[in-house]
Amino acid sequence: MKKQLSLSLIILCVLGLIGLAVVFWLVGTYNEFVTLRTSADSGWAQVETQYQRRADLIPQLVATVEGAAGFEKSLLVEVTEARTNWLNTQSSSTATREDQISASNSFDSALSRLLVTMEAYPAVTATENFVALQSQLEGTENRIAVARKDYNDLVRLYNTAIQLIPGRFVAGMFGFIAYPYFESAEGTEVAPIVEFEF
Amino acid sequence: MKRYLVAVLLFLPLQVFALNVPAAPQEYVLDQAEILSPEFETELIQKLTQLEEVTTAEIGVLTINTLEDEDLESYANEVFRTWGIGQNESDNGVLFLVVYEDRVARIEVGYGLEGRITDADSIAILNAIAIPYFKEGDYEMGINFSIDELTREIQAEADEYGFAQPLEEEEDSVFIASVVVGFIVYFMFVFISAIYASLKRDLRTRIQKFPILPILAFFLLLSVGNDWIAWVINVPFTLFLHKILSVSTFPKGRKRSGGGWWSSGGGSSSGGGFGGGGGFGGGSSGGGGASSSW
Repeated sequence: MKKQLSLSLIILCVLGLIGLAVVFWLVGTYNEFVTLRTSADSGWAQVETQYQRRADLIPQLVATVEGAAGFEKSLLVEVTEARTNWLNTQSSSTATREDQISASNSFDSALSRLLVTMEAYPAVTATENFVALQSQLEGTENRIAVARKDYNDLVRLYNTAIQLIPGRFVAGMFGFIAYPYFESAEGTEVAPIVEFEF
Repeated sequence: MKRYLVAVLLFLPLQVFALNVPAAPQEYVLDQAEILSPEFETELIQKLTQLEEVTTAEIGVLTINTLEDEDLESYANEVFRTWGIGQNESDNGVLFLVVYEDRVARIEVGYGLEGRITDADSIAILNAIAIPYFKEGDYEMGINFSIDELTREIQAEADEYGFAQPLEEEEDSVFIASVVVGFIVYFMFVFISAIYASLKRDLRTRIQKFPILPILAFFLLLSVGNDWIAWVINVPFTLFLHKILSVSTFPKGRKRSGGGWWSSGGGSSSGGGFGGGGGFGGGSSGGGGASSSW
């Protein structure tokens, strides 16, 4: 009788332990996902900060270039519109992160088209204003590149975590969804053809 | 977090840099392009050592021959982060990178110094100080005076605002967390067995019959995903707690009938938790006759 009792007690406790282990694991995994998602979000916030910084430089850039004789005005319009579009997407509550990424990519390509074209205007690029502006733009571009890479790395960690078994069951249970990577749009680097996208 | 890093390493191809980042030097300077004399290096290292002693900020100097096809900015950033220049909490580091054959150089500034050493400052230092010397092939003076200028800026930042002090290692919190978890887990089992045993009014025997609990707690912790340190600390701790409780709460014990599983040294070392196969078996099967011997 005594032996039986202690045996059943042990079984009871083992079952309790297994139950506890499952609960602990669920809680631990859930918290881990939240942590990873939060860091991916802060990575995104960093990307936004750097783009904002670039957006703040655009009016100055446009003002500097505007006066140049014979400069293709459509490029300036395009950059300004891309900037406005980006700003609107950032502040829009309905825009998804994919929308924001695509707005950022349009902004990238519009600006790089402008900068590439400007190389043909030494009268503009030689001015003191422009040189100072250009160094700021370069710094911003570099920070954007780093922020983007960091964001992608953080998203990779998060996406991997929620997609690996057994974590993906927990992710499914609590609605953790994979984040989009920030891929560059094709042909952002060189874009010789000038045309309106809006 | 660490677990997932490992998982990622296992499952995903990493973004590999075409140009590999050299291991961080022991003392600030790595002259891979061999353009600096040993005397100058020593002098530079002294300077940088002093800078860190006074301000905690760090400047790393790297010279390489060529970037191959690597982008200067990404390479510099990669080196900066791989080396971990500056303190962890204040990111107060600067990397001075010279690519000898490609004839390019970069000053990469850590987050914590961005406010003081702006991009414009960095460009000014490079263009006005370093490059004129580099053009004449005098890399030592170019680096020397650039570092002096950077040092001045950093010193000014340190004087004006100071840098966050390095925090102590996290070991303490891991230790405390594991002890707390061990404590909670143990009491859960005491509680469970108390409820069970309240029917029998024989709590003492019940608790003493549970040497298996610490081991199960150990596996439980494993599933929570704590650091291995936590288990190593926790197993002996749980055993200790078990022993203390059994003695102090129920002092009038019967004589124990024989060597329990813990007499084989379980809990005395980290090996106790892992190597306790024999102990484990003894605990669970010998429960019927076990009683307090301590």
